[in-house]
Amino acid sequence: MSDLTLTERIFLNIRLPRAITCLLVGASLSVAGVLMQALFRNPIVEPGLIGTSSGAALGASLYFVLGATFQFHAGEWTLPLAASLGGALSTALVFFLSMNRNATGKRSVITLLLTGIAINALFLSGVGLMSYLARDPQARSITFWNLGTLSGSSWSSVMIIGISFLICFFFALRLSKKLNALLMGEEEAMHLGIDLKKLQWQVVALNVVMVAVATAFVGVISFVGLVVPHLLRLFKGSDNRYLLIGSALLGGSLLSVADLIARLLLAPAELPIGIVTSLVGVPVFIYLLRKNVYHL
Amino acid sequence: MLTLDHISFQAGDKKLLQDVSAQWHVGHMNLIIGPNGAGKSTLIKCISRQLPIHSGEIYFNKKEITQSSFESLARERAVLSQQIEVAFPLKVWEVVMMGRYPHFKNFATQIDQQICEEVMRYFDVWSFGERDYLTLSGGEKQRVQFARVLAQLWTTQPLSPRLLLLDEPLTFLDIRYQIQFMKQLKQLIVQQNLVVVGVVHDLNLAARFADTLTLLHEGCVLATGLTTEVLTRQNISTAFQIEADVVSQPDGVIHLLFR
Repeated sequence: MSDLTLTERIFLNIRLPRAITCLLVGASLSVAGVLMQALFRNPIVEPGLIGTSSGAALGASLYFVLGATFQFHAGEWTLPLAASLGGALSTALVFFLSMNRNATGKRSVITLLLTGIAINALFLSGVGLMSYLARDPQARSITFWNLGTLSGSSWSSVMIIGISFLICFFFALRLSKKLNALLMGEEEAMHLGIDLKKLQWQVVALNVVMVAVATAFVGVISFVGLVVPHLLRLFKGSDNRYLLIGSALLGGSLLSVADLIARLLLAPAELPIGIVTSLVGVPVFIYLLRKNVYHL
Repeated sequence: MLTLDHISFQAGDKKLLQDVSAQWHVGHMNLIIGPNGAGKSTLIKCISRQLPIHSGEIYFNKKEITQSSFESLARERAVLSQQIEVAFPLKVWEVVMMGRYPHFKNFATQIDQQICEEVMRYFDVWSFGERDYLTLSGGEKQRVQFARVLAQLWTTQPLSPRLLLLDEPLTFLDIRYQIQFMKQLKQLIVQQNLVVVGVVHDLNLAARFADTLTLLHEGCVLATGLTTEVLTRQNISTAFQIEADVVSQPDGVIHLLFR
């Protein structure tokens, strides 16, 4: 290792893990987007909708504020741990609150969606409270984290996001047939022999793991999970098997381009990547809406 | 054979089905008629296991239906409802292929593809197999759904009987397609060894195509049996509160004229 020049070491220890993290995060968020849109049968759904990313944001904010106040820091893992724990807990909260015990014991996805919106609002105001309470440097950290950044990437983040993504992706592919059937509605899916309760559980669990882990290392990156599945549907329809594979590839590449822009636009300073994805994602999304591909 | 053994269903305090019993045989078109709120759709939903019955038992092929998993049930029972919309753009053949989902694990086999082609040709949707389902007219969409549901039950070697439930599938079709579909279905019942149980609104259509009729009224069976036994002046007046003349045509088919 000592033979390596500085450039080589920068490439190996900073640039390369960052590029791979970027691919994995983009893939995770987009695959999660496909899963969520299929479950809710709704094109406006994005992976953060059931509370995962707002919970992660609150977890991270708590870490920034409390960590500074009580002077604890358990190493590089504290922040990702706080964020993924926040994400997992808030999604669990949304999931259990949305369970309504009517005669059939069925969970309506609309209830799940609305509960998600409510809990998101609650947790984001929690993040707001934290930045209000925080002193300047912590408030800045909270802001940056909420806009996403890949500058903290390392080989360990690559390992963890990579493993969680690959496992989730494998299981997601196995669900693609069931998710296709769900496109015709819950009743028709049931008639095709699909256990809806189990499917909802599986999709939510996969979504939580992918979004919480990715968000834990890079912060909140919006619009990737929303736009990538839509772009793919334009090309080759809505078969979920194709969408899952395609969004893993396209999501990773698009986020890499976004990261490139984030690093080069104001070089040597670095723009938060969430700003770039929103700047690009919003116009694309509005264009898709105006083309009315879904005959809304 | 499908057997309903004294089944009841209630939502809250309201009894929607009370002590309904029936026996429906293979090769027969068994149609259910009745006024709004009589429990027709509820009955179909109970048979399809979408709603859990509170008492009684339902047997298909001599097996209580709650004994099978949803997955294995889907291989011998299909349900066709009113207009079905899809959430995102899908090609017509992709929709039809969904009917084969209970039969393959990850990838469609050659047999699945063959069956899809056969049913699509049968229902005359093969020519627009590549089109986007969302862009079809109501009648075309319903034909695609007929094909999808039949693909679910289709076998190349009919062994054990399979069950087709119809929940007012003709509601949004014009008269030409209503009659065309019933004729096609009548052929398939024999050829594919099906038990058909369906809800139909139009009494004259029911009279023309039913092998057995069941008239539901306030959650109970008011009359059941052959068309001539069920569609009497008295029964129609009790169930629908409307007066009708029952005209028997030369070919034996009953026709109702409403006053």
